[in-house]
This record gives sequence, C-alpha cells and structure tokens, in this order.
Amino acid sequence: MQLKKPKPNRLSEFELLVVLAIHRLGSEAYGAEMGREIESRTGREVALGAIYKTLDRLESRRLLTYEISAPRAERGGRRRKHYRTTALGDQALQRTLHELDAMRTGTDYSSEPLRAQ
Amino acid sequence: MSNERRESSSLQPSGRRFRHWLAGALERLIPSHQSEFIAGDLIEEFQRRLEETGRRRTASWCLRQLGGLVRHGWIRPLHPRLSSQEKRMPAKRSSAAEPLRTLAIELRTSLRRWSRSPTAATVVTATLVLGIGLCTLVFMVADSILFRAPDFAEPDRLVSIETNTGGDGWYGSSEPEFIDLGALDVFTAVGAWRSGMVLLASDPEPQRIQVAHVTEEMLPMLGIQPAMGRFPDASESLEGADPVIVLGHRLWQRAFGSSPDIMGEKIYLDDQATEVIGVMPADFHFPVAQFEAWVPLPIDRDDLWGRNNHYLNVIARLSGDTTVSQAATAVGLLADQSARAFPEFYEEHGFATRTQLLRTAQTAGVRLPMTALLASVGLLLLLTCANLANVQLSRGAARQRELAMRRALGASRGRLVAELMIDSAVVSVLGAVGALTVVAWVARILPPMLPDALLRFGMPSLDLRVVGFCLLVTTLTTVVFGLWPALRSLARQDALLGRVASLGRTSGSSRWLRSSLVVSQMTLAAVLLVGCGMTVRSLLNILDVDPGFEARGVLVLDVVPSETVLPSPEQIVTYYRQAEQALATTPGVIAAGAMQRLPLTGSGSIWSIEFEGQPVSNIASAPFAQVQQATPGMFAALDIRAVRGRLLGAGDTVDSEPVAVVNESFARSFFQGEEPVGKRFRVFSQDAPFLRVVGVVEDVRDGRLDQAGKNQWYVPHAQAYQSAYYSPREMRLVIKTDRDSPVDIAPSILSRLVEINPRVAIVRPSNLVDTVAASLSLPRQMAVWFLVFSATAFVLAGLGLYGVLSFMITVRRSEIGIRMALGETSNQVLLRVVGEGLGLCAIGLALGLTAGLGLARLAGSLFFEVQHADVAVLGTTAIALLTLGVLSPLAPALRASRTDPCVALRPE
Repeated sequence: MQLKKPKPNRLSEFELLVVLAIHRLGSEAYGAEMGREIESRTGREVALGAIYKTLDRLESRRLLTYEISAPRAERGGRRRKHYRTTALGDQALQRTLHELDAMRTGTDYSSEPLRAQ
Repeated sequence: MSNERRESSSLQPSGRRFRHWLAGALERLIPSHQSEFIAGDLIEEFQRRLEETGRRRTASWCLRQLGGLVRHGWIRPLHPRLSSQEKRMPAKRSSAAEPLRTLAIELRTSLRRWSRSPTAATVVTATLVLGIGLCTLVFMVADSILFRAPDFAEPDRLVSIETNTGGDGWYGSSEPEFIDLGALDVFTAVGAWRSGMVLLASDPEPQRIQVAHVTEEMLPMLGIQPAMGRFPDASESLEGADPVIVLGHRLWQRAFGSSPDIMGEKIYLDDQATEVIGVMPADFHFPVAQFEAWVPLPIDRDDLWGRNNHYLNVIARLSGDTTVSQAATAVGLLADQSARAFPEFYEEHGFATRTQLLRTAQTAGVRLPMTALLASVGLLLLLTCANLANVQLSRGAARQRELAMRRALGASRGRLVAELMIDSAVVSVLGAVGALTVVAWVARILPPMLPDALLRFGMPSLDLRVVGFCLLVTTLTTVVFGLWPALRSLARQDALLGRVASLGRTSGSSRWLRSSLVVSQMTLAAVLLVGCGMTVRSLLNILDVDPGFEARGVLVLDVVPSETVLPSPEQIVTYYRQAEQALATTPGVIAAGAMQRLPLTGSGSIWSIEFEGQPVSNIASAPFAQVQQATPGMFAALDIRAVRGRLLGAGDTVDSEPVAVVNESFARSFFQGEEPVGKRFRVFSQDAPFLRVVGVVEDVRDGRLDQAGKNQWYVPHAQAYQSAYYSPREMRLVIKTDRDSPVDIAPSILSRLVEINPRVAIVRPSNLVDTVAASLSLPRQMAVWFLVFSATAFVLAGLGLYGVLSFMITVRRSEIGIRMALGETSNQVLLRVVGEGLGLCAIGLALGLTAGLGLARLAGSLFFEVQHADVAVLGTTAIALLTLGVLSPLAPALRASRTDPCVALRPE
C-alpha cells in the first residue's frame, strides 16, 4: 500500500479561512458558527460539507483538535463539536500568513486592506 | 420579508417536526463519524435562515448545501454503506437475508461501475433499446397475425376448405359442393360465408360497410356468443325472410353511438328496413377485422345454383378427435366421387380440394413477409448481442488486474461470474424498460400506418404476451452477451493467477475471439443489407410496372342505387348513360365513364365462355375469362388504349350488334396469332347471343401490380343485360379531371349527379392514385422495415468494429511502441490498423453476401422480378460495408499512429 506523503504544514486558501474563523470565534468555534462567520465577513456562502471536509483534513494533519459539548438543554438538543487549533496548527497559520505577507509587500496590493466582497 | 417571517414563525410546531425528521434523515444519509455534527449544524443553520430570510431562500440554500454534501463526498448516492453498518451491527446478520444483501450490494456496485463510464453505459443501453425494442415491435405485429389463435372456441378445430376446378389458385365452393360437405361425418358443423358491401342509411350521408353474408351454421359454429342479442335463426336464414343484421362492435360504436336500445330497431340497409338482432363483442373478427356486420345468407336447398358457381367460402369444425389430415382425406374422397358423378363440371380440370387450419388459410398472404421480418429482426438481435458481448469482453479485460487479484485473494468463481452477469443484467433491464417505453409509444401511433393486410385480426397492442416476449428476449440477451464474456474473462483469470501484473498483451485466442465477433457482426449486417437491397429493389420494380392505366387526376365515386330507385335494366343503363354525358360537360372534367370494378382491387367475376365454331359439350371444358362491364367513357378516363380495332363506343346500344373488347392476354390465349377483331364468342349459355370482338386493348393489372394481367373482356354496360346476363346496378364512376387532387371537384360533380337522380346514393369520393398506393402498402411497408433494420445493423456493425479496434490498439500500445521504436512510420501504423479492420470487414462481407444470397433464394417469392444475384444490390452492400470498414478503424488508427514510443513503452 502506498503511504501518503506528509504535507508541509501550510494552509490552502479555504483552510486559511477556516482556521482564522476558529481563532475569531474562540470557544464558540463549531461548524455552523464558522460558516456564518466566514459568510458574514467575506460575503461568500460556504457549504457546511466543505467546512467539515476541511476540518477533517486539518484534524488528521493534527493542526486541529476538538471537544464535544454536552447535549444542549432543549427539546431535541444536540451535541456540538468545538474545534481549536493545536500548536502545530498555529505554526501553520503563522507560516502561511507570513508567506502571504512576504509576497504582498511591495506590490500594488500591499497597503490596501482586504475588501469584503 | 416581514410577511414571510410571520408565516414561518406561525408554522413553528410543524417546522420543528420537520427539522427532527430532517436531522434523522441526514444522519442516516451521511455515513460518517461526523454525521451527527454535520446534521446538527445544518439544522441549526436551517432554522436560523428560515427565521431570517424566509422559506424560499432557505429552500434554495438547502439545495446548495445538499449539493455541497454530495460534492464533498459526505453523501454518496450509490454508496453501499458497508463500513458504517458493519461497524454498528457487526454480528446481527440473518443468514436468510444474506444472498439478498449480496445482490443489493452487487447491484449498487454495478450501477456505480456503469456510472463511472457514462459513455459506454449510454451506448450499451441505446443499443439494447434498439435491439430489444425493434424485436418486440416486430413480434407485437407478428403476434397479432401469426401466433395468436383467433378468439374462437377451440380455434385449432376450425378448418377452411378450398377448391380448384380449373384456373389459377384456390377458391370457394359451389352450393351443391357445400351441401355435400355438410353431410361428411368428419365435421360437426359446416358453414359458409361470402363478402359483400351494403349501403347503410345514416346521417349525414350513407356509409358503405363491408358485411359477411353467413349461412345459418356459420356464426354459432365459431363458439362466440354475441355481446348483446342473438344470431339469426333458421327462419331468418330462408330466402325472402324479413332481413336481420348482427352488428360488429366497431360499427355499433361508430354508427349508433353504442346505444344499448339498438336491439330490435330497424335500420336501413340498401333501402331495406332491417332489424338489428345482435351486437358482437369488440374482439370478434370474422372473417377478418375489416368486416363490420353479418347478415344471413339464404341457400335454397330445393333450387341450388350450378356446381360451376364457386362463391361460398367454406369453414368447418372437426368432429371428435378427427385430425386435419383425416378431414382432408375425407374431403378429397368426396371430391373424387363428385368428379365421377358430375363429369360435365369436373371432366376437363378435375376437382381438387385443400383442407387446412382456418388460421393457416387466413394468414397465407402475410406469413412469408412476416416470417422474413421476424428472421431479420432476430439477426439484428444477434448483432446487438455480438456488439454487447464485445463491450463486455473489453470491460472484463480492462478489469483483468482487479479480477485476478480478487480471485487470488479467495473470491469464488461463482461470485465473480455473478458479479459480471449482474453487470450485464443491469443494462439489460434498463434496455428492456427503454424498449418497452418506445414500443408502447409506437403501438399508439403505428396502426394507422400499417397496411390493411396486417390489421386483419385487430390492432396490434402492447399486452402481457408482448411484455413477456420482451422479458424473454432480454433474458436471452443478458445470457448471450453477459455470461459468455464473463466465463471468458474468468477462464483467463485462472490462467493469470500468479502473474497478476502481467498485462498489456492480448493472447492469441482473445484476439481471435474478438475478430470473430467483428466478422460475425459484419456478416449479419451484410445479410440484412442484402435483404434490404432486395426489398427496395423489388419495390422499385413494382413501382416501375406499367399498370396499363393512368391513375393521376382520376376521381372515383361509388354509385350504389338501390333496387327501388332503379328497378329495371333499362333504367340502370339510362342512368349511367346520362351520368356519363352530364359529367363529360362538367368544367374540369376531361373524360368520364363507369366500370363494374376498379383495377388493382382484386379479382372480378370469371365467366365460362364459348367461341363461335368451337362448341363445347359441358361447362367443365369451356374456356373462361374475367369480365368487366364498362361504359365507353371509361377507356378515355383511364387512358386504356386500343392496340387493334376500336374501343367501345356510344353507338354500342341494346339495339345494335352485341360487341366486346378483349385485352391482349385474351387475344393471345384464345386466338393464337389469328386476327381477333371480328371473331365472335358468347357467355356459356345456350340462349345468349354471340358478341363480336371489335378491338383489343392493353392489359390492365387487375389484382396486384406484381401479378400479370388476366384474360379479360369488356362488355358495354348498355348491352350487358341482353348479351351477358345482366347490367350491374352498382358501378364505379371514374372521372379524369385536370386537377392533381381530383377530390377537390367532387362537390360540383355530385351536384350534377343529383340533378340526374337525387335518390341514387353516391359514396366515397376518392383519388384513384390512393387505390394504387393502397395496393402497394405491403411491399412499401416491408421496404421501410428493412431499411430501419439494415440502417440499425449498419450503425451497430460500425460501432462494433470501432470498439474492437480501439480496444485492441489500447492493449497493444506497447507492441505499436516497439514497432515505431524499430522504425515503422506513423503512416505504416495507420495503414496496418485500417488494413486489419478492412480485412475483418471483407471476411464478414464475403460470408454475409453468401448467406444473404442463400436466404434471398429461400424467400424468393417475396421479391418481385429481382435476380438472385442482383449486381446493384450486392455492389451497394459491398461498397457500404467496405466504406464502413475503412471509416470505423480510422479514428483508432490515427490514435495508434500518433503513439509516442517513449510513452508507450514507459510502463515496461
């Protein structure tokens, strides 16, 4: 059987959005909330399927970890999976952002703030 | 927005129930450790959006999210869900459900496999729809004619008895012969019928309907009870009894609006009040579907007609356990006795009889064409199977590595064969469903396009028998195209065990197999093309026949005066003379005349005649010829030209010398090179006057275009009642107009005829061209069917050749790579591949042409004046298939010639 090559710890564009969302949300970082956060800030609607796929991937790369909450106290209340970044995850975020900045500086786009679309 | 929100919050309780349901459904759909969280998040977001954005936007969001779940692999539409279920319930599996479970899994995997190669799936399904569909369609038509027993009680006990006492073919019996047959103890009942047309008075205009005049025994003998009412009884079947009628279901619906009160009502048939005494069931067709009512046929046993008047079609029911051949022997013996007892009738030509099953007799004319169609469609099905077997072989070969691996890991042969079979069955079922859908649709639009000859026993319809046949064909197809390649693939697997990775070469036997499949496809296609060519050629030959008359621009009107309107022969003759004169001066009319029977509508009366100076002792030794009563204008209207002497003229009246015009066949047969004009003959009757032959006209095709004209003589309608028994009351007016569509001027012509006598019924204005076309409908239909079959065969054969060559080239890439590395140019590769295709094609073509010629010889009587080895047909077939042989391999050949040796050899 062929083994997967370990990926260098950098984040793709969507992964970056997800990890940043986790950081923004802190203790409230679960799937639906992440989707809302990304949508409200970037204006782009995301599929929950895509978020969970990404979360699974990042988790298997040990960039994320999670806690499962107790069922919420309401009828049909359910459990939630709250994600947070691991040290490895923070490193990857750092590295990616650093690379992005390094490339941005000196271009026409360097000083402009990112515009929400 | 606010409205929507209010609406959504008011739906809170039902919304909650829905959310619960949705959450459950989603969890089950997503076979993953994340299912609970994904479902929960989705529901949460769903609820929020419902409250904030309204139902419509939420619905479209739901759809997008669902798409996301599928796209990112959370939901797999055809996922076997093995892993998750096995994790949840490892031990709970009932052994009884096991095979079903396996089957379900196999089905899903097979569907997934096919959905991964949609092009192959589409091509295979389309091929199956074509193959199975055409097969079922032809069966549906053939079934209604050939295989389905008529809806009579014990139909295989009903026989038809025909006779021949001179002349061509088989025909009915005379009254004394019929009475004799009734006395035979091999039959429990003997009945007779003759066909006739009657005029039914109805609003807004009278209709002519085809009726069967039946003897008293006829209808009860068939063993079918009327849907309403009763059959005629003995007293009603006597000469001079009050007329009664039994209606057919269709006529009852059409003319009487299915009225249940029709029983006992009087309707007017030929101006005679006739009592309706019964209505037959809808599926009752006797003698064939075109007959719409039944009236008694009185036979006066004390005063029988002569033995020479063969007008009764006789049907009998076998008694006890008598077989058809025993009955035939008994009838033959009776005929021998009669021949000895009445030499004056049978001396010259003998008395032959033919006794056969009613069904066999009824289908005589269409059995050969239908059998040819069935055989062709069978060939087409074989071709379909060959094509699909090829596809399956290739797919099997492409999965060689996988199958070998599974076999090596312990999968049983049975399991793998089952899997491959299911692979075939899945597409077969799809094909069958598609085929049935197409056939169901065609069954609705087809009947009006079928010739009358094929609708004799009712409309073909998609019923259980046809569906059953379709399923049978599907099963056969699956086995032929599925099992065999599956066994092949596995036989190879066994050989491959242990050398799993050895790929990229095709063994000699597999190449041979594939090549033989292509050759057989080409052979089948060639056979069908030859058949098609012959049929089309035959149709063209028939179209080329000079019918002896000109139908273009001729309007036909049926004139059916009743006895009360024109009681005497003088009045009949006067009416037609006046009509001819009046019409000749009507604007738009070039010529007009009347004749007793249209050309190409079947045989007319054949009368015995006697030539002056050649007396004959009895009717058996008298010559005979077909008679046509006509008015002088008829010849001009149909453009029938005199080759000697003159035509009939207005001067040939009852006061002048009796005359006749004969056709060329008549002159050849009876005057053997002598000058016919001036010769005299008369009908076989002592007191009849002699008729002088005043002219000879060209032969007119009488029964069918592909049958030569008979000996025929024309007698002037004005003289016929003095010189040839009678002048017919019912005639057809033939009116040559200056229009392409002569029916357009029918109104002005009808008004002229009304001026002459408003009480004479005139029906069915029609175009003579249509009559000619109707006589061609069967050969034309055959040509259309064959064109469809051979076009399909052509495409299938092309696809097959293409498929095999491209597959061979794929698996022989390394060989081609080596050749090119060793210096073969791309042109050489191209030529070699095309050459291989062409070679296979040529072998198939040679075999196919040989087989096609053999089959064409067998079906020789289907074709009209076509040479067995028709060069044009064979040439066209050869050119078509060779073109195919060059074009189909072209694409794979080009691909092969562009092979980069480095790339091709890299895996090695």
